[in-house]
Amino acid sequence: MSGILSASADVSRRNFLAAGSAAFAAATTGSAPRETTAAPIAPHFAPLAKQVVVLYMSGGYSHVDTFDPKPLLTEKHDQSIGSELAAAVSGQPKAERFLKAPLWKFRPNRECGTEVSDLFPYLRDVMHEVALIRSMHTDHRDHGEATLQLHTGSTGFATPGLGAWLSYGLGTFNPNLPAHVVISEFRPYNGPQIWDASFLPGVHSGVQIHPGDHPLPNLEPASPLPLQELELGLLDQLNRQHLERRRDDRNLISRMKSFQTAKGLQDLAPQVLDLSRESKHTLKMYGSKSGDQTSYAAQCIMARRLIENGVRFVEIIDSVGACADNWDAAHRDVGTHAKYAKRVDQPIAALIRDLKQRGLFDDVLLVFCTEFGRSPWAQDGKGTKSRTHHPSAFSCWLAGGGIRPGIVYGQTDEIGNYVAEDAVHIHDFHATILHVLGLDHTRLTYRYSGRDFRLTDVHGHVVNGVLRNPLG
Amino acid sequence: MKSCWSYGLVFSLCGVVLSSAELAIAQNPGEKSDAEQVEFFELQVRPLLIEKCIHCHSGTPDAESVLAFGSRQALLKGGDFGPAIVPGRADDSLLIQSVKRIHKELRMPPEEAEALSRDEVDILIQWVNDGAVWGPESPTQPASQPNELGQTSADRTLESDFWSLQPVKAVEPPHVEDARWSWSQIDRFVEAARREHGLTATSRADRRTLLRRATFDLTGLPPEPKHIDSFLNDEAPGEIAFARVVDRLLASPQYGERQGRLWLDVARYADTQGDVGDFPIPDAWRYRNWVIDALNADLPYDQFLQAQIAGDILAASKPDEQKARGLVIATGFVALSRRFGNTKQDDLHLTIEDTLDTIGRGVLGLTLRCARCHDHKFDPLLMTDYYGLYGIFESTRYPWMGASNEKSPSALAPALPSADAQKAVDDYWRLIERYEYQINNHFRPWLKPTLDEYATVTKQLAELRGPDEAAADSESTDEIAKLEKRRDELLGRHGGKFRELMLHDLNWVKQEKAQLAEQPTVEFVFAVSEGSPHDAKMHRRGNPQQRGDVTPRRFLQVIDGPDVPEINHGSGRLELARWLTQPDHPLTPRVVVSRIWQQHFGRGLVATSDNFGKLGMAPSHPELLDWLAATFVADGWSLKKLHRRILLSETYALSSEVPPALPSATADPDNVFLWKHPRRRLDAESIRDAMLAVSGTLDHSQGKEHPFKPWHATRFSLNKPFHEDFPSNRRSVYLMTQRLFRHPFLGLFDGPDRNSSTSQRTATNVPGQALFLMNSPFVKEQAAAFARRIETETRASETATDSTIPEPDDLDVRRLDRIYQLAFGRNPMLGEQQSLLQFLQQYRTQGGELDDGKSDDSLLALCRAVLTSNEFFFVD
Repeated sequence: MSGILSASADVSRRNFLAAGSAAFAAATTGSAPRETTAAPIAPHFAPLAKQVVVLYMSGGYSHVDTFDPKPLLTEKHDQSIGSELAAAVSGQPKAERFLKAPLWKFRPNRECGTEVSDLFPYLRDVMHEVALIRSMHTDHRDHGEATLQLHTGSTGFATPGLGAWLSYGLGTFNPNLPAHVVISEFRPYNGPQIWDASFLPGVHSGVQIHPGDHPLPNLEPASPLPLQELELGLLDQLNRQHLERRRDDRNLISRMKSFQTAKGLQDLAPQVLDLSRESKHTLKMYGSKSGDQTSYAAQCIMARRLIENGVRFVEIIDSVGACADNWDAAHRDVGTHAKYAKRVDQPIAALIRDLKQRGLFDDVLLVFCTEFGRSPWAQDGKGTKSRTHHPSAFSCWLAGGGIRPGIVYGQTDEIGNYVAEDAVHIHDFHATILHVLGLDHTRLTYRYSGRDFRLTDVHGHVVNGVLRNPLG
Repeated sequence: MKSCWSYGLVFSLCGVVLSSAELAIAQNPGEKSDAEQVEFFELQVRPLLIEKCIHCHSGTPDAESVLAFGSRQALLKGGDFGPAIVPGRADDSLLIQSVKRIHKELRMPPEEAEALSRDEVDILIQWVNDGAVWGPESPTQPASQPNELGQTSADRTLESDFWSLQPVKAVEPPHVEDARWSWSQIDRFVEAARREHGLTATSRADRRTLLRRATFDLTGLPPEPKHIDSFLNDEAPGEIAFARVVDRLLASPQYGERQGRLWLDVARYADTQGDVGDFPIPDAWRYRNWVIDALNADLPYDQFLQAQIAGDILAASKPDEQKARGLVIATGFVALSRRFGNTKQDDLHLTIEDTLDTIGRGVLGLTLRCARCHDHKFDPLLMTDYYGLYGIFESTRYPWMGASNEKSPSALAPALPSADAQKAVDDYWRLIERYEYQINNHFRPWLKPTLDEYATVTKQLAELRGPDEAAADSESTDEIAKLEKRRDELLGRHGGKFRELMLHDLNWVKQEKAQLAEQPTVEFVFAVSEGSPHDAKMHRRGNPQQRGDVTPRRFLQVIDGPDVPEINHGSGRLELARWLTQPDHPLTPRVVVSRIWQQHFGRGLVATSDNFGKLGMAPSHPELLDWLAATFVADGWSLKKLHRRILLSETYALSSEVPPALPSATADPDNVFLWKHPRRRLDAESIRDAMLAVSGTLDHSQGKEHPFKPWHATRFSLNKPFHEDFPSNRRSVYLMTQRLFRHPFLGLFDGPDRNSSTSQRTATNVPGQALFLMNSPFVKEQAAAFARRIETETRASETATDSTIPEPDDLDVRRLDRIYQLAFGRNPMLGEQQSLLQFLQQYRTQGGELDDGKSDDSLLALCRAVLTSNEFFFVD
């Protein structure tokens, strides 16, 4: 517990959470309309984890170079597998496909044996905490659509994202912070659409944090604090006078309250996002250093601090410079993966260790994911360096609350082209995440435009095999 | 039937003599002999199919699934997802993917508990890989007929007694004794309903409140002090004085801006295409302004709709060029449907879905979209209705400003439609598109061999011909002919699409394109035009890759009956436009009067104003709804008359303040029966416009085009979408609206969805809004401008009235009066005045102590508090 919100640093996090939600419930007299607040709500059943951190690797990392070892690719490097390729990404005609060996060597984790390539030496060391899924698949082969589906379940029609659904379904623990936070230095594919509340009430939209000097818009007080407080006092007075003959109107009260919350956010957020109080030891573990507010390591520490302060859902979107400089290796050397892996490897492994040592790991679900995989063959012909978009098979992993550690779920065929066993579609992935949070994906619905919408549309099965305690 | 089939299969298993003469065709016998394969089928495969599959895949008309398991042919024909088996290729066979449970949608059998064991799956894999040999069927069984069950019951005769599909009834307003409620016919309906529910209305609102309400409702702006004075001083009786106000507001140009904004919500208006690249549509403003001008001119609603759906067709018969041009522009309603994907045509079905959804929910109050994948689950709408309408828009050409992989515009419409004009426009864009394709693909690896060889061949030709081209001997003539033939072949490669690139070079192509782009040879607009008329094929389960039967173009069977309407020539849009606006249409007039009602009372007569179906709400005042709809049509579909009728009712004039312990408040807390006027927060545009108006910074001129870069100077894509925010001090309706990015102000304050039709705004009060109001530069600028305006105006009145220098307090008092008059339309009360004065004093003292010049900001701070207060944000 970083002690940001409580006077005494030894108050346990649970106490804080309980106190926070009780105070908020009292303030809203128990009948807060869902349109305007995100107070905590009971899940459908006992949750396995209470909060989520999504680590989204934008651009689509190659599963066969990272988490899914395929010795046959090395054996048959440069050998042809024919030219039967469905409509390709940039409209090129059917081209002959030549297998391409992974650029990195795979080695097992010492405790569980899960093999991970040399791209992720730090992550390999924590794979015994992780349930690796090697049988992911998705519907679309373009970044935009696949990114949208990874977040919202839909490839086209704009619907709310996972974070918005969780905010809507569960609310938040800290009334002074948003329930749904997205740390994104650059604009990802589809921009804010992937964290938009869409048809859900606007309060469930993700709040984007730009790591750096101006993490949130309008956070800096427009005038010195004492004068701002004087002005807010006047505003409150005007509103109270206005309320006198309108006491029946809850909207007026709710709007007055929104200024109090905003003031809380204004005063609290900079503290939460300020890493200067982190110990040297912690910074070192993540690979960050004093004064660093922008690196991926710093973003992971921020995510942990947001979780400690009761935020329900935090997503870090990894892309180095907008979406042109990310894991996308189409018509580009897959070797560039090294740059992106190095950036995230140590910080994410540190996040797992840090959450464990702070006793938070069992209450937080970690989701490591990407929008699709990369082809087992070279994209631009024999011996070329690139791999194309590959929606039919890729790897993601889950860790933390409720997740069976140290396992591998599902497998692909001998070259990593298609899923061979225990396929996990994005809808299944979503159903599982909701399940871990105590929500039945078929019951988390919102009536819009004449029908009940769900994150998983009419699909989705909970992936039992990754759960510590599978369903009956 | 179902049981017969099962029996048949069992019978075959038990009773058939295995002889090669009776074998079904086996395409890929593999290593096993035919007899072995049949044996394998009979002993291993058939029992499995009977046990696990046949129950739902019986091939009978009442079967659960279209896919029949009765024969090899039936499996090859497959179901909605395509062939169930690909003999010889188990991995590619849906049957195998679904029993392995690795297919996205198909996991068979559906119950997890009945899943096939690994051994059973292996049996099926082996069977398919061996060629899926089928054993002979009993001669007593008919050869299996793949069942033709569709997802729709096209020949179902639809009838419905659902209220919204019945003709609008002719009703008389009920008789009400009370003089207060008998003057307006609307009031007689509403009061009768109140009495029926034992409710008593509140008192009439005072003139100030009423004026502020009506001014915001009709123009989206706060009343100006001079209008307040003249209304307060009008000695005519309340109703008459108020009628003058309403007439003035209806005649003001701000009426069209306000009402236009609300129609643009329905029309999911935006200045960009949406999705990948979010390409700007520089012409969209023409449609926006057409809407505003049409509403200001009170264009009858039927003509208003007809123009937006079929204006280009109607324009052909208009001799007046100005009018014809306006009609073409009006089809922006259709043309502005959202675009999807990297290419223009691949996801056109989604664009048409958006058109149908917008017409469905926006005009008809029906969720037509729900009938895209199957018959509507709740309303009497069939898939054939959806695809009947779909054909009309598949026969329509949608314009494009570009797509990520096809960056140039195409299919734009001539401003004055004619066959020649259309051809000139098309030729122009086709040539640009051709060059654009070459520019986009010149570097592709698959093109390289062709380009390289072309370079070699032309080089050889040049060498052979020599410098003077004359010295060729007969041997080289042959060689030249050969090379020339080869060269021509290369020019024709890839469909001849790279001819100019080879003949000249990339630079030449770029220059040609640039020249064409900068100097268009024809005039065009972003509007739809007629395509080649045809009936569409259904998309089975909504999947455009699975085309089903051709569906004749038509409207809604539940309204028209089974006969298909005559669509003789053209797409059918004109016929659709006329059908939608028939005076006796059960939905169109009801939907629009309910939506206008919603504007004034916060809740439509049907509260779900875009859903008049079974999942929508029943009307709160069914007779009033029908009376208003009928009167509206009888009035010549005049929207202004409709507004006037509603605003001049006593119900509209009710106070929003609830006296303590009023029984109505507990009996009808949601105010369904209108015993009070609902207090409402201003919508996003009104908040911004009111701030600008009050601070004196509002630019009242009509907006025109936005400063987009010309299309050829931009290259938008997924990685680099268009993103701009063109700031302006014009009214919010004129702000550039993007689909991919919310406007920083309008998005925050619950502005409309730009991606699909918005029927009703929500009003949230979230902390992000408060933070914006407290700290954003925009609000600070408005508060500063407001403070400056106040200082200037009070100083001016100083010199005008008398020469003595007023006491500082006196000056503050006059400033406060002016602030309140402009922002709230009233003077501060004595208590308020005192606390405001106290605030100013304290701020100056405290600011002075901070000693950084902040003491001068006291008026700014006060103005900001006023501009962000509940009284400013809510209308009583």
